[in-house]
Amino acid sequence: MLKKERITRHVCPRNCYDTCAILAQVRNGRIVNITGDPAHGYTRGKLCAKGYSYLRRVYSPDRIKQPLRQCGRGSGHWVPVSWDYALEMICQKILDLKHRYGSTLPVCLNKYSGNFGLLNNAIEGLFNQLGPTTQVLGSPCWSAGLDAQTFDFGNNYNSNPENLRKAGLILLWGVNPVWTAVHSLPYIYEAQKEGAKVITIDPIFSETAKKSDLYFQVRPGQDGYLALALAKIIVEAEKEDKQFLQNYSLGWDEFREYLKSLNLNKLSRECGLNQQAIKFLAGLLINHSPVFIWVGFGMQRYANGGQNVRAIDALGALTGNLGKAGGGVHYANLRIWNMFKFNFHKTGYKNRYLNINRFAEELNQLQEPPVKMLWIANRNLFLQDANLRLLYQAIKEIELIITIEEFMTESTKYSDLVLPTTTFFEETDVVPGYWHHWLALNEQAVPPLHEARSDLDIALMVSCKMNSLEQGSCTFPQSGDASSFLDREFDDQAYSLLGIRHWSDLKDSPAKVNIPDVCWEDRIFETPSGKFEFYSQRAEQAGHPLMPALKEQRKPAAGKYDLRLLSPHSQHSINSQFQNLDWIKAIKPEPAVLIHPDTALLKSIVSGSMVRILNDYGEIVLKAAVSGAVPRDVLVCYQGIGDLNINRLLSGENTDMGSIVTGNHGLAILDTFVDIENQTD
Amino acid sequence: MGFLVDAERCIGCHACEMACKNEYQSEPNVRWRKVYPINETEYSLPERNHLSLACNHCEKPECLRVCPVRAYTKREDGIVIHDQGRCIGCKMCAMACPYEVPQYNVRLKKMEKCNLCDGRLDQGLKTACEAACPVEALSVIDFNGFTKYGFVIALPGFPDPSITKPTTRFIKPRIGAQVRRDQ
Amino acid sequence: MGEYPLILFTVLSQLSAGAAITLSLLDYFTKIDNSAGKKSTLVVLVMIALSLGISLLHLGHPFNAYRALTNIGSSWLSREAILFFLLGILLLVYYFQWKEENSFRKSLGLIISVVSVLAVVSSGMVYVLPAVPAWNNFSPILFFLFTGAALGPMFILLMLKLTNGAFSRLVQFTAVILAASLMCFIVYVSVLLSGSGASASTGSQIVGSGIFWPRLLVNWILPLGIFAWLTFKRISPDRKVVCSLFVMVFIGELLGRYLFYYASVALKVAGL
Ligand code: SF4
Ligand code: SF4
Ligand code: SF4
Ligand code: SF4
Repeated sequence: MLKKERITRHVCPRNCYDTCAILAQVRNGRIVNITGDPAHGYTRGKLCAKGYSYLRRVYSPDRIKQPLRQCGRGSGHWVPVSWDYALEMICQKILDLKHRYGSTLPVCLNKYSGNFGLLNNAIEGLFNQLGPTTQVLGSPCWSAGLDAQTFDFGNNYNSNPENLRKAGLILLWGVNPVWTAVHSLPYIYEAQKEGAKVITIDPIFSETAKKSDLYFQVRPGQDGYLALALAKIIVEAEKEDKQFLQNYSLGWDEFREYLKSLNLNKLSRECGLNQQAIKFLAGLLINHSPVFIWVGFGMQRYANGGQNVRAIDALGALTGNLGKAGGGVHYANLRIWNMFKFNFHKTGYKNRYLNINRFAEELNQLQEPPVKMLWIANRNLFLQDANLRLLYQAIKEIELIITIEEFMTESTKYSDLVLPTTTFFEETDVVPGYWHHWLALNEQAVPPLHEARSDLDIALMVSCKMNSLEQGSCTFPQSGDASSFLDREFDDQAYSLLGIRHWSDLKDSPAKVNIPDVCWEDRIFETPSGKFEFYSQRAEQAGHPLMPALKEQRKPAAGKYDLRLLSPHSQHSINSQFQNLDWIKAIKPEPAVLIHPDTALLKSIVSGSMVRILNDYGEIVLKAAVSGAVPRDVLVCYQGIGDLNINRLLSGENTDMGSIVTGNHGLAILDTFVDIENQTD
Repeated sequence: MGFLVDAERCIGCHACEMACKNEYQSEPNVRWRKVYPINETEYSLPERNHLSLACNHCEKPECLRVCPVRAYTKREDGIVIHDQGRCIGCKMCAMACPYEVPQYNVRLKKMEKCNLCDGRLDQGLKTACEAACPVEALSVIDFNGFTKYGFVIALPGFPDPSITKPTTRFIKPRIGAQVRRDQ
Repeated sequence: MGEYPLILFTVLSQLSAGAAITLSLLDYFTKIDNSAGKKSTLVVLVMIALSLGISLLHLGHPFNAYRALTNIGSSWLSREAILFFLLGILLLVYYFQWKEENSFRKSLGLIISVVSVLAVVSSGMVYVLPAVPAWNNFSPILFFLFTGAALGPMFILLMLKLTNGAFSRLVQFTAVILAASLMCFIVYVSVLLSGSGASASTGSQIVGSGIFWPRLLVNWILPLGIFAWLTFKRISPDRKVVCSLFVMVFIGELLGRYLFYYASVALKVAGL
């Protein structure tokens, strides 16, 4: 037999810092091996453990193979149906609701970022062409920080993270790249080799802290106090960058006065570190240059999250690190995503938008018309949303719940209809980075497995069906393919930024996007004043203090639920993804809640005890692991712990910022307070 | 030949382990390479250290000694090869290896283990695990004419190397300073 | 299925070896009824064949078991297999020698005794593994030999329907063996417990297991108690008593073997 072998290019679309480029070796219509793509300058031919497990995902026996209808929500009684049947069911329902309520507003889409390719947004495009629909707006993830940087810098740019290697001091602030961005480590190591100090600031002694020269344990959510304390000490020592402050900043005098007014004792108490330690850290900041501050997403998932980020931005500014190669305050980069116009998203209708972070609450309150059909795309809503109790209640009135998935999940349990979708090896798409400066292509390596269809194909099929049932009921295209959609998305400007003539050139290599390697190098900011704004009118207009000011922490009710539960990202899953794969299960530690030895003693808990974690929203039962890596007043339960639904404990409180960039405030996931009980007594 | 595990660089990411699985598409529970998070108590401070271990291609391989069917051979270059064709699945080797290396494949009812990517090495390629390590913490070194120092034969958590004389060498992790909260 | 085949194989094969030794020595030193001797040989032979058969169940590929004979150079498993196989063949030959006075049979009996001991020793050697500290001493050999010595004589005694002086001597011998093995067991467990690491955890696994006390009871306390009581009352045990003693010890040895396999902790990487 003739052996047909080819290599196809891919990129992981899992909403991850590293967004790795992948090569697949395809033989006789089957992918036989994958490796990292050495042509990608940032990920350089390596994948993470999750990445190397992809073939198991593609060829998993657990893939959903055809559309499935559940007879009785939660019954587990699944009946395979044809695509035509499924489409008919969906479209009939949409039309029925439209006629019953006189509008398509009862039709609701809840979509997020589980598949982070450009065309994975197709379902949103479809909804935008059905009529006015109900959709969610915002992000549970990074909203507060995005707004904070928008107030300070005017936009969300970062330097090419390869600049880490030029740093003299690296502050990994509330970020755990050893788990969530392994490809940054070589650059950090390079800097270290050149003499840079690496410092991790985190409430948890993370694996990243382990790899650092120094670790500072900060009180959860109080990072801003630490930043202000450092700023105060540096300014008192007159080591601020006067030249930068004079020429490129707005509101420095006011900010200096503000710093003066702060009490170091109080700051030190609030951030949990003693003054000596803070002074030592300030000394390092003064004596090392440039300082690369990587601001993680964790510290902004608090009620004062945005302010934390603003305080750190201010620290970076007054030390004169902005715009320096190897320096700066880096959070995320929206530049590459913003290259796209999302032509297939355009809508002429006035949609009704719900806050993605108050979804259950708002769904319950919605009347005129209520939501009667819910479509879940690119997310595992019933595992990853907050205030789940309310959500279970809200869906009772919903007549049809549809989920697009590769695998059966917690969310399919609550669905009436599940549509099988392709993995990125079975579809064509592009995935931009939001941390590194690369864009890469997913070629179709193999035809869709089983009866799986890409998000785009599903949108096209629905549109066809809608129109066959009622001509003109959907204006989303009824034909076309990924290529034709990509053709429309890439314009000359995009091509010139990418240095390619056509997106298909990405088959030869991922492209480094031609954006400034060092952000704000010219020190011209995109704020209204064109300067770095310590003092932001825009912030004030949005209802925030002018300058980074920290609100009282959200505290637990006295005597009850006095432990804070942190649920950072786990090592081997991205949110709920990957954890279903047997390969990943084999390497994943058993779900456990980490508890400080002293707290454990107090509650008579030992490693291995079954414990109940509870608050007013719900409870979960799991094993305890006693660990000195966590502080006394904190429990840590990495998310992605299988069916143990940790989000049951989330109140759904929102962060202080987020509405400017993402449309709604973020989710203050880490402001969760609980009690722990030994289940065995 | 043997592995050099640079525990100073290793971040415990399991990429090596998964790359090995990807390369050989091994059964879900068969792990030729395993990354072990080491108990906090093995170090004086709560540390998060890892050891990435596969077969140690020992100088005195117990697996080879106890196997009744001579499924194990030691190549000239030191690689301990397990020939699955000969194996009858008696599990003696799994009992005898101090490092839990031979893994029982329930489907084939035979043992298997890391053969140091002999096929890849013979083609001049790096082992799949070494090629995958994002921080170059893992490498295969040739002991002939090796003169570099600073390697140790065991790290906390690694079972007594005097039994089988593993060829795996380690570079010790550096312990950073920790500033804990005052509370 | 776990280690059950191994439990059965080792206990049965040691019982058979002990029986073979008892039989051949009795034959050498005393006079045995031909047909009873022949029958006993056959039973022992069948038990050896059976135990070897059971041991195959432990293998992933039982049909390729013949290959296991190929590494006598270094593998005690190979040696064990060869020796038991050899023992089987010798017993087969022995079986056909049961005709009147036969000096060849008697000499063959001596060879059988030696091979039996060697076979049990090699069985023990299989488990003398540095990777399992609790086994890495002479204890597997010792306890395997005790198993054979405790069960074999009683078995033969019952098979041959002995009544004479040999009967009571064998019963006494069994009592002594049981007492000795109990003492060794106590010493062994205490040494383990006072050790560290894998040894200590093996020790606590043994003691902490629910099987520890039942085993102690049926394997030693009950039988030795019965012996003591009989001696005290000056009653000589009869067949029924020996029969029940045999069953007790047999069950005790099975339980003990279960503990042997399941409680021993191997060296491993100290991971979470
Ligand atoms: S891939 Fe490298 S860094 Fe990751 S666990 Fe393996 S050896 Fe360690
Ligand atoms: S590590 Fe184990 S399997 Fe590998 S050579 Fe040594 S004894 Fe054999
Ligand atoms: S399991 Fe296979 S390789 Fe291991 S000792 Fe038995 S026959 Fe040899
Ligand atoms: S050398 Fe090859 S077989 Fe051995 S662990 Fe590494 S990748 Fe796996």
